[in-house]
Amino acid sequence: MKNNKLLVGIIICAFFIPLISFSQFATAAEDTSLSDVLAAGEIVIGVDAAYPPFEQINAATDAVEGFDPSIMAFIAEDMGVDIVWNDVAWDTIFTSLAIGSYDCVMSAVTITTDRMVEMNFTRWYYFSTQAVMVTTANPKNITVIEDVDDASIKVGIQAATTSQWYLEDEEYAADMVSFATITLAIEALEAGTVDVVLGDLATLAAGQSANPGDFEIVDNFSPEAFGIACPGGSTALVDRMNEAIDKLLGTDPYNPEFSTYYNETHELWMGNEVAVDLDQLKEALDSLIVEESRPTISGASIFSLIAVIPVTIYSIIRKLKKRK
Amino acid sequence: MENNNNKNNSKDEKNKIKEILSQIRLTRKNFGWWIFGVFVAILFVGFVRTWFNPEAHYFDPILGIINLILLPFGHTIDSLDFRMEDILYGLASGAQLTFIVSMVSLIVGFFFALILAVILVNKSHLYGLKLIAQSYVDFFRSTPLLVQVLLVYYGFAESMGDVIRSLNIPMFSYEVFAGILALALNTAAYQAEIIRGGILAIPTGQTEAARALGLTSGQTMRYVILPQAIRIIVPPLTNELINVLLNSSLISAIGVRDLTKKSQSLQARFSLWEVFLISAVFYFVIAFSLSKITKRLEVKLRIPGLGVVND
Repeated sequence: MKNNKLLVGIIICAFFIPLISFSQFATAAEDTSLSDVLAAGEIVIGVDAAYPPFEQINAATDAVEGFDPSIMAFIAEDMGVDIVWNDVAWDTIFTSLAIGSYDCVMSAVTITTDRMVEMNFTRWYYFSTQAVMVTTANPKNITVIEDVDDASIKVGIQAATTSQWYLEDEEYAADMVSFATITLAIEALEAGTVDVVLGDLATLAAGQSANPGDFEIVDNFSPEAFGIACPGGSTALVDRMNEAIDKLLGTDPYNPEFSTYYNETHELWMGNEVAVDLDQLKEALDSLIVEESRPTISGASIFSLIAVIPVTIYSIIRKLKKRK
Repeated sequence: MENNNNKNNSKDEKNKIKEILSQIRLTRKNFGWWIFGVFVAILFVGFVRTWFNPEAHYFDPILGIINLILLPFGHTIDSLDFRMEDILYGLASGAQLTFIVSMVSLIVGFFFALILAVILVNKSHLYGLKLIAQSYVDFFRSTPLLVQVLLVYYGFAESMGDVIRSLNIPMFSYEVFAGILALALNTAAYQAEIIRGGILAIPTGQTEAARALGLTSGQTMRYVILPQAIRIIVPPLTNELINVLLNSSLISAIGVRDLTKKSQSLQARFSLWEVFLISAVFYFVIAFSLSKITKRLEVKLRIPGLGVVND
């Protein structure tokens, strides 16, 4: 009986070891992303519709509206499919994408190298920076992003956004308060529970114009390009959507030529004309190019790692203890 | 005469040392304890390193060992996954906070529970104190912990928020304070019931004997009842220890960056659900080692001859 247990342990180990070694050579399944969408005649899109002016719920019609839906309407028309909007919470939006709850996520998603590991992005369709917003009174006297490096300052951000990663990566000392949506963070700024809000420039500008005279945008940082996120491996769908976006922005991502439709949409939702700083754009796009392929392991391998180590140690201990 | 005594004493001491040495000698019987001891020693080395080198992380030596284990497979953590180091360090700092928060709230809760239990077993009504204590225990045992955490967090925000922030202690924000307070208040109610049960388990003959010897009721409680009761309640208290540790995951709801919150945020960052698997391992390591240590304590503090012993 005792020997049997040891044997089982060794067999389990032996079963998991190949998973570690060969996971990197696992081949992807056939890409049916585009044909599935075309066959269904509709594209299901995950969105967190609490991010004006990019996406919000129209109070009268209950439909999702904003800059992103307008762009998506053009792409869907180009592809000849209908759009189904799926309004979900931001913090689990990519998990649901990974398990296939929708075809893609279009919710002002910044393209980052971290996210590119698990999903495929289209080319950028909107370019902007992040911004620092304070109240007009500005009691803590914040003028640049580096002022946030102070433990007495409370920073409001939306949870699991690039603003949070920026704060964590720069290791700023500020007290970080995360909110489920950016509108809650802006409300907290108005109520005085936070001293400063970090977020996308256009969103903060929308919050500023909704409460005229209350807020002030003092600094820009971290240029960011937005793309549509599709599950990993769905290259066909991404390529098809890129074709459509090319019609809006021109084929060269570094030198965009804005179409009339894009200009009109931008002016309708953002309230100003398109103005992209080409140097900042180049900086942002270059930072997305990863030279060497970075190693990643699959979930099965992580599980096998977690299983292999204790089982091995356990069987060794057991063997040493029971042998007489 | 004195010389002889000294000799005997030194002989006894020598025997004692020999006995201790024979107990801790590496044998097959205590092999697991040695592994655990080495694990703790490595963690301690990591802690000491962080004093001298602020850049270092106490988790570094553990990562080194994981690398060592992976070496036969021709890998290191970095060569397996470039995100893994971020995830492990992030979760380790979260685990640190989870451990500290649950230990502090357990200890604070214990002293509060002791007062509550003494009030609860008292015969007299103590000017309504008994009613207050009983309703406190009933309230905290009959409402969900998550609601209590939110109540404490929003309830004390006005009065305590600025006070805590003005103290300016690193890692001790108002959120952490509210989390510790809520956990302590909750565990105090449960521990009060445990301690009350322990006190009631002492036969009345003991109280009668103590009173007959001339001890006051306060002295009886302090010198006769409580020392025995504490030894009886060690097993349920260790159970409560694990409960508090695992319940502390609920304070992530108010934004304390503990193990659960960290794993949520890392999961969102890398969209990798397996982060929760790793955080479960972190919880398991802490809780399982605690339960093993407290098992030792239980055996040691057991009152000889009381109850059935089968281990």
